[in-house]
Amino acid sequence: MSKKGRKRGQLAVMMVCAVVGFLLAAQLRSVKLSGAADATNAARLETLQSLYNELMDQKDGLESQVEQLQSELALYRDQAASGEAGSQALKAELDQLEITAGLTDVEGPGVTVILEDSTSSNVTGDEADYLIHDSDLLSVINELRSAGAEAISLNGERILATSEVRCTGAVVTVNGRRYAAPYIIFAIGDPDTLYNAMTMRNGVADILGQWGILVKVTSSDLLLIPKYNGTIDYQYARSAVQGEGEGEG
Amino acid sequence: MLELIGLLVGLAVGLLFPWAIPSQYSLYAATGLLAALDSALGGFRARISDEFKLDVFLSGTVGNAAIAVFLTWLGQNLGIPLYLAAVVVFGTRMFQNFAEIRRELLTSRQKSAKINQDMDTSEEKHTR
Repeated sequence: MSKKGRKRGQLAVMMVCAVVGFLLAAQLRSVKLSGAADATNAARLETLQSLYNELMDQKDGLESQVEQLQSELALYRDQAASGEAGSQALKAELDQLEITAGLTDVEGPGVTVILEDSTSSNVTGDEADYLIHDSDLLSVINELRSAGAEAISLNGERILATSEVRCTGAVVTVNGRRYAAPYIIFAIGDPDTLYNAMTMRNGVADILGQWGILVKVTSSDLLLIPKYNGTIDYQYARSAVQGEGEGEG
Repeated sequence: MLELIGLLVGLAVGLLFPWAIPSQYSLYAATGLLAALDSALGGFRARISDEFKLDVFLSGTVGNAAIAVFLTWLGQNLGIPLYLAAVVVFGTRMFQNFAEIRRELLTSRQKSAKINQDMDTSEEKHTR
């Protein structure tokens, strides 16, 4: 072999060695980087978990704060009632409005509606047909309201004018809290009317029953519906001043 | 010696390079790396045993790397880890090359030792 060829060969091997080194370093770096990415994911998960726990604690704290404020409110109300005679009327109105707004526990006669997911065998092939959806619950609630229910709760959660009933995965969210089947709906009102509204032919219970969903309606003499234990905060809506604005009516 | 310098230069460049290999190309880079490593060892062995031919070396380097990367690509598209073929082949050859390099170096040392011994004995004869 000539001396020049030897030199070129040496150079070529050196070049390939350089390529090996480059690839080695780059690959090592990228592997290390992807490992770091996994570590960040784990760290992120941990952070989120602790954030979640923190927020849950915060929520508990806020709920106890609501309780405290409500007891303060009760105190003020008692003071106001014991003060003047004229405030008696105000107190009565306040009581009325509190029931409407769901700010106080209420009791009275009514019906209990229990809904359970279907146990019958699946013939349509779609599992969703046999589960209770938000629309089913809403139609039950709507029917109850139509029949004159004065207070309604779903699994102990007071249904307010602003309450949502919405599917979130396999569960239903009401007032921001999640509930799973079976769903127990309490409605205070005239028990006979409510019962008939529920069980009438082609009514809600009838249609849900066709899917094998268990609907049990029982009337009771005394039901207790708890108050809404959250806060209601209006950011956008405010009372309109009389005579203001053209778009009224 | 030059091989070592080349390796160090490559390592330095790779470490200082501002651009990392994206994770989806990591496998290609790894098989290419194996091919290059195999070629480098093979070239070193050929140079030691004085069988080195530049065209053979270069075509082998480029061709092996191309086939390895192609196999990886094909395997990823077929859903079979075909790159393992490249890994096995290059791995085996690396061991073979290393064995030959080792023998070559050891025997050459033995040879030189023998030569030295012969020279010593001849010198002794001369002095005698």
